[in-house]
Amino acid sequence: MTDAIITERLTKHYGGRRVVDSLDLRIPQGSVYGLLGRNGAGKSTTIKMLMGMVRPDSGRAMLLGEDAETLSGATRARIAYLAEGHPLYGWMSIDEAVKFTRSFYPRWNDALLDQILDHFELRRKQKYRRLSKGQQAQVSLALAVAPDPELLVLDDPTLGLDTVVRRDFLESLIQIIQRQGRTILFSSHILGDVERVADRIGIMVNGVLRVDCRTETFRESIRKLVLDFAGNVPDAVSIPRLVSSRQVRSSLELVVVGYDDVQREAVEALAPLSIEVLELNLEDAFIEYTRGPRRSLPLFATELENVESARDQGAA
Amino acid sequence: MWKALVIKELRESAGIVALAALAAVIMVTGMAGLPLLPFGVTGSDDFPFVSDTFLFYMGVVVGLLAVALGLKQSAWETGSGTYYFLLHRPVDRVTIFAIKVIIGITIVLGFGVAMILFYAAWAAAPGHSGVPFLWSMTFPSWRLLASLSIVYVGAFFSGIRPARWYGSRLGPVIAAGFVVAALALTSPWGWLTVAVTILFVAINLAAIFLYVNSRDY
Repeated sequence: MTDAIITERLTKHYGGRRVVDSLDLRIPQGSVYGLLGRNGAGKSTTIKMLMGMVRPDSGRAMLLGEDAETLSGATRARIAYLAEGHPLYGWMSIDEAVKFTRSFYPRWNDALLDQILDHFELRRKQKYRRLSKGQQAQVSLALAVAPDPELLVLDDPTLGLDTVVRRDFLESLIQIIQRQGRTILFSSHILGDVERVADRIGIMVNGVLRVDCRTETFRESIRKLVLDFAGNVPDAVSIPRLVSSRQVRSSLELVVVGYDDVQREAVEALAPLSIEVLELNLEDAFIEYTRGPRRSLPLFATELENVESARDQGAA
Repeated sequence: MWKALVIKELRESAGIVALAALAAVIMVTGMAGLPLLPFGVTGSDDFPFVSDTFLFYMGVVVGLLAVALGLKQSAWETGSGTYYFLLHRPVDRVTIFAIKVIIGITIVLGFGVAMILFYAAWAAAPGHSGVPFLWSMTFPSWRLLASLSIVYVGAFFSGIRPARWYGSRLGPVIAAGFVVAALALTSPWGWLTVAVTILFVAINLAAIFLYVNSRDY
């Protein structure tokens, strides 16, 4: 399978601060990739570099086999981009926006466009600036999909939308995804959105891609351990693949990547009264992974395979 | 695609052009002795174009139009985020910005031409002026109008050029204002005005197209 998006040591600084740090990313064709991170983690800058809106200080990005900085018109026509906030000309009616956008594309699926506008109950005469945020997102999605792109890049598409509209938007996105071979990259800080749509996730922390694996793999590999102590709670904890540790009264809460025998032995060596192992949902896993006082540990698909194989070996 | 971009630029410029047209109508009718407002520009007995205030008011109206249009066409899309929508279309940036600049310069110069011709038509009509009308009387106006294209490209460059603060960002349009003022006050030979105008317009255009391909959006 070829990769629709490749980045190699992509780096960007703003005012001396490294907002994207040596990003190496490969998104296979046909996959739906959710790029997660807290505000300021570098998601939008990464997407803007992919779209050629921001020039990287070093490294490079390739989209559909072409350098992102010098994308040809023909390749750009195969890529849809929804910027954050769904910017479009407020003075245009939906019909004018359709005509304007259509004039750039050699391929245009009017039937699909009408289907989406009908689904969202949007009338072509409506002015874009008079639409709600949710409706603006729907128009943007319709315009993005009409040229039948092979690659969709969406920068926080559900930002500012209420729960119902967000759900509806994502349902539509899922239907669109079902077309074979279409690759989707979207950034978000709403984990529920990603969980519904993405088959792979990447998590950026302070400009660094800390996680790049299947969604299920991430969820399954993060564990929260609650250790109760009779006396003093130990200050220094040395456990392999520890993400964060936090003392809560007489308990110690640890978040670890992949809970295996080695980690179990290290935890038992602390001599707690009890050890409770909790599974986390994706949102909790993300929060624990990104907020901890310690620096987040890298978790990549290959590393996890090692963890799993180590676990298998331990079980054997 | 070209047509869509041209229509978009014209539509987005309409508000500013309408305001400038209103100012121009008030000015020209006032100078023609038919004031629309009870204050401001009024008719005079001076020679049309030669010793009246037409040149000054045309400079103000067309100059402000050039500044407003140049900034609107370049900086407004940054503020509204629509560059992300526009610049991702499958057409190269130079084409998009070339269309913007061509439309902008055409509007500014076209507007000025219309002002001069309307006033000239009034001045040439029998009974409106005490002196005979000669086309040579309009030459200073044409020279000023040509040089105002520097203000437009300077404003456009100011809007497209990132800077740490507005003072330095507005540098190109302020510099353009000084050049135009110097040309207007010194009234050099016509060919020199044209040569200076072409030089400054070319410098600004080169800078604009350098920035559109190298700046972050």
